[in-house]
Amino acid sequence: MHHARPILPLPPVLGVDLSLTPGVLLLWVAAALTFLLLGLAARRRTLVPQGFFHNFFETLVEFIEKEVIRASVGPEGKRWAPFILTLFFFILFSNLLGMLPLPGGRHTLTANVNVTAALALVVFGVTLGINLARHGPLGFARKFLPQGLPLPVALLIAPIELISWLAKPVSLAVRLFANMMVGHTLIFLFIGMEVATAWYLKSLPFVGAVAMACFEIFVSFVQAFIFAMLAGLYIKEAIE
Amino acid sequence: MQPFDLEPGLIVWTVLTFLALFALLARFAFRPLRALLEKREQTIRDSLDAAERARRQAEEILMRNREHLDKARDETRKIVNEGHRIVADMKKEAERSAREEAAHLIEQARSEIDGEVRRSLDDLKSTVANLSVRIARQVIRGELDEDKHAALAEDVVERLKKTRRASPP
Repeated sequence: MHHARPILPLPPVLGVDLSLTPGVLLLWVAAALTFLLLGLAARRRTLVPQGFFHNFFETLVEFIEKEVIRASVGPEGKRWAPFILTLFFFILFSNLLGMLPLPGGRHTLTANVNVTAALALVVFGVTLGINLARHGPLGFARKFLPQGLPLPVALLIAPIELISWLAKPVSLAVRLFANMMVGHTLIFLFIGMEVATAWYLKSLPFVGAVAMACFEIFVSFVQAFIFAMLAGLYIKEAIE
Repeated sequence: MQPFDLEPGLIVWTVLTFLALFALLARFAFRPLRALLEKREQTIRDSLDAAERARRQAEEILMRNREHLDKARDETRKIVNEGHRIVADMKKEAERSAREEAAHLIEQARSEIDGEVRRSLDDLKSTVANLSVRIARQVIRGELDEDKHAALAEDVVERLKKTRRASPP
């Protein structure tokens, strides 16, 4: 297993190496960018929307709140809106940051399984917390036993239900990671072909790379949208 | 940064960074943004309600104005009809009065004519009597004295009257 070379080595905490790596630095850049842009968007608060920048963010916030959060979580969506909005914007900017030509190769945060797993773990933690707070440990355990089935069958079904529930954060993490990694890999593949091909064929990989980059911007939005939507649905499942 | 390598440190940092970002965004970005959006939504809803109320009020005013206009038209129609009726009555009255006046004038003229005719007849009678007396005197001078002549004349006049009564003019 290869670990990234730390920029600033730090002593391990509970056996976990918390040294600052380029990945952590990029994580902070993405978080800072998210906070900066949204903070700027929230700074000028005029009743009549003014300018593309404010319009863009206000529209995006409103769209996610209405079409994702209210649609997936339901009436209690308002309470969970900041959490799901943070997920959406952080994933979106992490995805888009990977489109920038930074030195040192690939820098897409969400193309790293550790980052997507951590985000999925946060969603998993939140749903687990809601389940325990709303239904209690016994009520939560009862969710894995389907109603109206004979006990032996229910006992057989329960592990499947448990595995299905545990698979949710895994699917959440893998979906985002795989989509972003494949998209960005394809772009780099086209760029590699651009360098390797003969001069009279150079335009083909270039067109492919540009088309793929445009598609990746679209995919960045779609993947952030899907992650937020699924997080909302899992929260709704936990509430019910 | 290798995408498949397990990096517990990066996972921990991601969780911590995300939670910190969530806390900051919730406080400094989403709360004011959502408050603004809610305020905007409320303002738009209030404006739409106010516009709807204004539209209803305008419709009510328009309806009232139409009612007033209809009432005014009815009043006008009534006044015009009353005027026509009064004019017709006045016309009838004037005709009746003119007819009466004409009848009265005709009657008056007739009575004046009758009086004149009577007076003329009397004058004629007197003239005829005088003439006849004068003629008779010429004819029978000497045979009749003044009294006999007067009685004769009177007799002639009476006979003339009877003749006139028997054949009216």
